[in-house]
Order: sequence, then structure tokens, then C-alpha cells
Amino acid sequence: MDLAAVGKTDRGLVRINNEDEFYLDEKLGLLVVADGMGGHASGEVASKLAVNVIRDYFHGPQKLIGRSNPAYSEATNKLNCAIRLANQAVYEVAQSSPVLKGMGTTIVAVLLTGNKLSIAHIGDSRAYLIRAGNIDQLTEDHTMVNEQVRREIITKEEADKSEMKNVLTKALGISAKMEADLDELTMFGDDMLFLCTDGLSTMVSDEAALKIISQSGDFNAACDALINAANKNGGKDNITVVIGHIKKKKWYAALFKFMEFFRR
Amino acid sequence: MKKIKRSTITDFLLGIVLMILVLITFLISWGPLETLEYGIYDLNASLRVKKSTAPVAVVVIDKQSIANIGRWPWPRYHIASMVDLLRSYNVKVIGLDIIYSEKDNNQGLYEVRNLIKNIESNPYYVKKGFDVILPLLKESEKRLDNDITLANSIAAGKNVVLPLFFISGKPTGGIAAGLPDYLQKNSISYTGVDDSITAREIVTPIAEFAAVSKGLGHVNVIADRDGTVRSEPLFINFEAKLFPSFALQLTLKYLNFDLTNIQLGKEIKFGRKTIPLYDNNRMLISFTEGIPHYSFFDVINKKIAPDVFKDKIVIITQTAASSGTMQMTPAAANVGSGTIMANVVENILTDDHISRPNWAAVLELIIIVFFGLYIALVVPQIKVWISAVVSLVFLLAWMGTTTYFFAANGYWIKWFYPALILIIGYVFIVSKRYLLTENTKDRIEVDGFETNKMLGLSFQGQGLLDMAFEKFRKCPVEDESVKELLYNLGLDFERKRMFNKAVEVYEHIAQAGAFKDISDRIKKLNVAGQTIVFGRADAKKEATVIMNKPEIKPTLGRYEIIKELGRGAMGTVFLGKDPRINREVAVKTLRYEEIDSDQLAEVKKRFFREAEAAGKLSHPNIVTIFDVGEDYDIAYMAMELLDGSDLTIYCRKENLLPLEEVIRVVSCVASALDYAHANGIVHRDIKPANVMILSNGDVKVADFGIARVMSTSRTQTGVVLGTPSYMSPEQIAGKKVDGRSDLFSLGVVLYELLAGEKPFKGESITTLMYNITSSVPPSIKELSPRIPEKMIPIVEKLLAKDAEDRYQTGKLLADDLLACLNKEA
Repeated sequence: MDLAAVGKTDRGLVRINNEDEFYLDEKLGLLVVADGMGGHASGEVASKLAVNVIRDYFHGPQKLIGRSNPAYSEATNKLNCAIRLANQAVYEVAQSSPVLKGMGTTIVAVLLTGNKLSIAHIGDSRAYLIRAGNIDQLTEDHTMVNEQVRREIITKEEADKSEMKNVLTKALGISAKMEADLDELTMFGDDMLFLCTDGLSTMVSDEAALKIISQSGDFNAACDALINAANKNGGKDNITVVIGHIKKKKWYAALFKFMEFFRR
Repeated sequence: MKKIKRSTITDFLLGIVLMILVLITFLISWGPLETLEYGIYDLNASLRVKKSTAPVAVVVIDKQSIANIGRWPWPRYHIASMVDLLRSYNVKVIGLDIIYSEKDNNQGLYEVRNLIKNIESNPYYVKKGFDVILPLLKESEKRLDNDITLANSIAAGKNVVLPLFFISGKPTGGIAAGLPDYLQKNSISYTGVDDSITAREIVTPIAEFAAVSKGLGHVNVIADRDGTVRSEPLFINFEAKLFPSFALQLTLKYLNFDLTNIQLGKEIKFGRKTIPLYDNNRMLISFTEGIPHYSFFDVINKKIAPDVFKDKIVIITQTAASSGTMQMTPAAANVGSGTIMANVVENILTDDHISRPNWAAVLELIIIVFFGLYIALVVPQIKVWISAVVSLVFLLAWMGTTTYFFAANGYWIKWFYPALILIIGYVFIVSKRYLLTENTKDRIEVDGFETNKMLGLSFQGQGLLDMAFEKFRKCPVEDESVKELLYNLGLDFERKRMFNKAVEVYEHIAQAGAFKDISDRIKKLNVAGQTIVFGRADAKKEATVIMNKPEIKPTLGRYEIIKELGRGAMGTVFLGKDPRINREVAVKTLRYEEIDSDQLAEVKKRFFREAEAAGKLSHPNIVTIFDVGEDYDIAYMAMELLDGSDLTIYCRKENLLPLEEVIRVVSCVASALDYAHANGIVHRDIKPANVMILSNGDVKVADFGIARVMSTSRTQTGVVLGTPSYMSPEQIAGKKVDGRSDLFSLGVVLYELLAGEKPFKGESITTLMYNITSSVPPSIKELSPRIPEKMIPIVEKLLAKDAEDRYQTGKLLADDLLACLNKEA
């Protein structure tokens, strides 16, 4: 399957710099979004470095590093390796300099291989699947409140009011060993992928985002509309959106799909 | 759109090369492979064996006959009487597969002839009237002359075919002109090229027999290279004449044809018969079973009914015991040549042939190419198990097709070559894939060469040249690619005017020998280095930029900053000096950049409010705050400079404080908290790091109220929370907190000071949080038996989940603790 993707990032209305970063590669089927954090603009360094390392990994020989998880496909393991590598890079750089110490980044990355989608993420940047008019969040935020809601320590309403809404439980680059959450999914024609940072997801609800995307003529316009909506609601953080579209099947797609079954 | 993998190309080439190799062996009929092909042929042939139906029978001179009649060679009259007998049975054609190439050597005949000669030549005998016995002697001579007897028998029926034998070899080049009449008659001339087997010598029956025979045919049996007889050479080329085979002659005579009726060509035709030919004018034999065989002895003794021979072709032949050689055929081992001939006759008469149809070779070629392309193009693309199934289906289909054609139509299609490309190709491609994909699946080490290279390149791309150098340094510099990477890194350093770094890189490369122009560059840069101030000097120290000019003392507010003491959650802590009263202070700074700009004013306000409130606190166990202010956009707080250590070091098992000291410290903290709570200030971040024991033994609690201002004002993607081990359940739930929350945290500290272990643990933050809110900590008594009974309810009360169940004030706690201590004493 082929992927068409667009992505946009915006500083928002409040912040003075943009610590978000994203990367798209339609050929590889790779979409990455990162939201950096840390003082002295080191968040920018972290998110950019993480995204670049992932990009470089997939442009290189894509060898598996360290132990792989047999429960997942090779592609998913590769994605995991790329994130591991990015974690190592960000962590080492953070350790190397007092200015950069403590920097880290969230990461959400999806990789389309054939009709299989590999998903990996750390932190509170999200990936959504839009299929048949429904929007589903594919990732579980690694935030304190989300964990609390999951553990039923607090309710969703309490969570929205919680003082610790922005406290992450996991981030890339803050410790030497950090494993991403992995997932896999089978894609169909006309599915849409939607990746964003918390700058969007805290400002625009899932349903509103779905409405904006489905009402926009093209994905460029959808990105702009989403960013506008987030800014209209306050734009308190950097906003990054990436929309990927699994291309509609041609009439011979069934044949291809049949052939695909035989391919290795 | 899909990128073509390199392995796909090599697989394609491999498939094509394999196909060409198979094609070549196919076209040259490479011996060893042909032998394997014969194996398949034999298998198919054995499926084809039918019951014989043709009018042909074999009379065998077998062991039984030899045992009863006598040792071979027999006197020729035995054969003569057999021929006579068969004639009387109305046999249509007799094939006598025994070559009498020399005259009979009969001692008795010599003697009789000598006697006759003597009597006739000596008048004395005549005179004596001995010549009366001459007719008797002549009678004997005639009887004893087996050759004449046999010649007469052969001549009598005009239906006996005799054998010829050829010694194969390169033709002598002679022409048949000199051949006797009976050989001329039994051979045909040909025009054009003939590819029959050639012979250099001929063995014929003696002229007496040959001249009176109905026909002559060769009895040569040609086995294939594996020793099995599969075909009959219908003609042998001797001195530019073609001699028909014995079986062909028998058939011709049986059908009342003559050699002159034969049309040569791609097939042999006579009358309505068509015999398909294989190479060298051979006919592939389709073996049958059940050709009737009769023992010579039985026949001569009339034990066999005459009817079985009527109007048939009868071949008189020998078996092994009587010197006839035995052959191997696809259908059976130890087959006499007579049987093989009978089979040939049978095939021709019933038109049951094995043939290579014209299209066979074309079909084989097409299938070879088809399988070759399948191997080259399809197999590398599809999953192993699917290609296994597909290949097997192809193989079986091909096998089924060829077997069907063979069994049903007698069409021999060479199965083996296409099958070979399929099997070998499949094995090659698949095993190659396994070997090679295993290679690409090779894991690389986390700290391995390739990882370092990858990370180094990423760092370099990011402008983190020092980090990149560190990574490349871990790679073996002997590697050419690493040298290249380092060289480029050196150039990058030069571009950034970090010349000494560049030199360092070049010198690193130089360890592994000369490379490009590095020695020139090193020289040049060293010269430059003497005149240019290095630009890199402070790249790493931006954060401490205040410290960089030691001659001018930097200040924050009215405090001179002397040096950095450390870094905390909020910001950097400096050693400062109040120049007015010459007092050393600790200056804590607040990092603004982590705070949302729209909230900055609010946060600052809260910071100052909290700090001022804390500043009003005056208690021997609370760190004194002197001043709060803002300068250069940095909020700061000047406070009492403390000389001591915090409690973290006393929380380890091997380093626990004595019980009395623990009680003293905790009750000091409790009274400090009691005082602060009474003044409306909640600490919110009680943990060992915030409690100091000074060198004089004083206990001081630091950072009242401020920690929380920091941690909750980060609305941007903020901090990853340090492990919230000391948080109270209500803090975790994000509820409003009061002094009792501090007491819970103090309970955790107390537990840790006593047991050397945290009461709530968890592999992840989530489980930790869960444990704090829901689970009961392990009993402290078990962890530390030295603890007095009285302490246990105190700890348990402090760690109660519900704030109502805890000590309501610090004073109550301090009292309980001190009571405990008194009792101890």
C-alpha cells in the first residue's frame, strides 16, 4: 500500500520557540512526530536529534540492534531499534553537557510495511487511526494522569482538572534504557493516520479533529485547519500535526492483494 | 514503485545462469544426466508393460534341453530336425538365432569320407567287390554330413531367417561390391547421410546356409551406457550398405514384405507399418510380458501341441547356459537376445511403439525455459513455503504429464532436465535466501561499530561535532570508511573554526597511517592555532556564563556570585556573598524557561509569595531565607548557607543512623512542620534530600513551598517526574493537600531511615503510584528487628491512606516519638 502524507508544525500563540519536530517519508512509509522538552531550548535539540536519528536509521542498512521482540514483525522491531538508537543519542548528548542535561522528547512513529502498520511511541504525543468515519487513538499517553485514570485512582473528570496533567511517566532520552510501547495494525485502503503532539490534543478534542479532517478538501488544508483550531482554543503549546493517507485501491488492487499474500 | 532489491537481481542472474547450464547439458545430452534420465525412463517403461498379443513364440535351448540332448554345441542335425518339425507345424517364419559361421567339424564324417575315397580310388577294393558297401557308406556320409542336412531343412521351407553378426567400429571405407550375392540381397543401399551404427567386420553363416535362407538379419544388441537394452538398431551400416535387424527381417517376411519395400526416412515405412526411429536408426523397444517360451527339448519331443506354433514367427535361440548372452532391460534382468527380438517383432506387429515425437524436444525446451524463468523471477519474490508448494506442484504436474504420455501413448518426453532446473534452482535460491537473510538479520551490538558510526553521523548532522568525534573514536580507525568519516568531521571542525579539535581528529586518523592531505592540514592548522584564539573554548559552558569572567564578580541582585554549588530541580544553586555584611549565602535561582510565558507572571507571583511566606518562618529547624529578588530575568532566593549533608546517605541499609538519632531528626522535622503548618505553610516536598543534618548536628528543613510552585506550573510538556516515592495518596490523586500530607511524606522518610528501604516500591511509576494509594507497606518489624514495639504503630499511623487516620499535627508526632525515646532510655 502507498502512503501519502502531509505534516505541519506551529509555534502556537504562547511559547517563544518551537520544540516540536516531525519527519515524513512516503517512500519508506514512515511518519515521526516528536515534542522536545528541557531548558535553554534543549527541547529543540532533543526532538530534532531523535527524529534525525530515526530518519538516518531507516536510510541506512536498517540492521537490528540488540534484542528483538519475536512477538512483533521485523519492521516493528526495526522501528523499535530506531527509537532505541534515538534514545541512546539523546541521552548521551544530554549527559555530555550541563546545558542539555535533562532534555528529552516524546516520540510517536508509525511505519507502513505492505499493509502492516507498526506503531511505536513514548510520551504523550499521539497517533490516531481514522477509519470509516471513526477516530481511534492508537497510543496510550505516558502521563501521570493517564496512568491514574487507567488504574482508576482518579476519574477522567478529575484527570482533566489535575495539576499533574503534563507530567510524563516516560520520555525518550532521559534514561539510558527506555523502551517504546509497540503495536501493530493491518491497514486498509482509505485509512487515515493522524499524528499530533499534545499542543493539539489538549486544545482540540478527538471528535473536533475528526470533523475538521473529514470536512477539509485536502490534507494540507486539514493541517492548517487543525492548527488554527488549536490556536483559537489558546495555542498554549507548540502544535504539530501529521496526516497520512493510505491510498485508495485501484480496481486491480484485489489482484495485488492476492499476490501480496504470496510475497515474502 | 517498489524498489528492486539487489538480491532480486542476483537471484534473477542465478536463475538465468542455471537455466543456460541446463539448456547446454540438454542440447549436448550430457552423459551422466542421460543416465539419470534413463532411470526415469525405466520407471515409466515398467508402468507400460503389457501382455504380449503378437503371433510370436520362442523356442529356447535351455538347461533342460542341454541336460537331455547333450553338451553344446550340438550336432547340427538336431537343429535341422527342429526346423523340419516346425515346418510341419505350419510355422510361418522361423528365426534361427544361431550363427554357424564355420563348417561342421565331424570326425565320423571325415572317416567315412576317407573310406569312400579309399574304396573309390583303390581298384583293389573294387576288384574284391568291396564297392558293394559304397552306397551304404555314401548313405552314412549323407547322414553324417549335418551341414547338408541342415541346409536341406533350411531350404525346404523357404521360411528360415538366419542371423548375421557385426563387429561394430569405424567403417573400413570399403564398398559392398565385393560382398557375396546373399549379403547384397539382404541389405539396402541408401542415399544421403545415414546415422546408423557402423560396423567394421561381419560374421555370416556359411554360404551353404546363407544362400538358401529366406533372409538374413543382424542379431547385434546394443545396450545403453548404463548397460540396459532399451532400443533395437534396425539397421547396421556396413560398407555403405544397411543391414536390417533379425527381428525386422522376421517381421518383413511374416508380413510378406521384402527389404525393397522399405522406405527410409525419419521413420521407417513399409506397407501400412510405420516404425518411429530414435537416434542412429534405433527403435525404442516397448517391452511386453508373456511372450510364449518353449523348451527345445519339449518341442522336439512333441510335448507341445502343434497348434501353438501355427502361422507364427518362431525364434530358436539360446539361453545363458548355452552361451547366449543375457541382457538387462527396463522390464526385467537376464533377458535373452531372442526375447528382445521377439519384443521388437511384437512392437512392430502390434504398432505399439515408444517414440520421441517431433514436439517432444520443443516441449522440453519450453518447459526448461518456463521453469528457469519461474526460478529466476518468481521464486525470489514469494514466501518460501508457497514457493515450495508451487514448485512441488509444478514438479508433480510435469512428472504426471510425462508419465501419462509415456504410459498411454508411448511418447518419451525427457522428464529430467526441466525437473533438474526446478529442483536445483529452488534449492539454490531458497538456501541462498536463508544464508543471506540470516546475514542481514545479523544483530549489531548496542555499542558496536555500526551503531557508533550511525550515531556519530547523526550527531555530526546535528552539529554536535564533539559527540560525533567521541562516537567515531570508538570505531576502528584502520577502516577506510571510518577514516573518511573522521576526515569529513575534521573539515567540519575547521569550518567551525575549532582548529585544535580538527587537529585532534586529523591526528587520530594519522595513527593509522597517512590519509589524503591530513599531514598538510595538521601543519597548517598548528600555525593557525598559534595566532587565532580558539573559538570553541566555552561551547560547553553556556549555562555558567556568569562565571566566565572571574576578574569581574558577577552579581545577582546585591549578591556576588562566587561559584556554582550544584543544580536542583528548580535551577542552579550558587555560593554567593552579601558584600554589605560580608556574609556567605546560598543563592538559589529559578529557571524561567520552563514556565509558560503566559503564566510567568502568575508563577513569579506565587514564587515570591511562597518564598516570602517561607521567609517569615523563623524556626531553628527551618532553613532561613534572607532575601528574594529578580535580576537579569532570573528569580533568586538568598538563604542560609548550610554546611552538612542531607538525609539521602542515611537511607541506605549499611549506613543507617542509630535509633535515637533517627528519632531526634524526625522529631525535629516534625516540630518544624508543626510550626510551618501552624503558620499556614505546607512544604509539599518532604524527602531525605530536603532535610539537612549540619556538621554541628542541627537539623534543617529546606525548600518550603517552593518545590511545588515549580512542579505544577509547567503546563508545557514538562518534566518526567522523578520517582514520586514520597508523595502522599492525596497528592498523587491531584487533590488539595494540607499539613497531613507532609506528615505522610515524613512517615516514608522515617520508614526509610529505620529500615533502609522505601515502604512503597514499584518497577514503574504506575505500580509505585498504585502501591502508594492502595497497598499496605511491608511490616517494618520484619525488616528491622531492632525497632522497639512502640515505634511500629507510629509508622503505621503516619502511613495511613486516609489523612484523617494520621497524626493531625506535627506536635502529636513529635510527642509520641520523644515518649518512645524516653521509654527506651
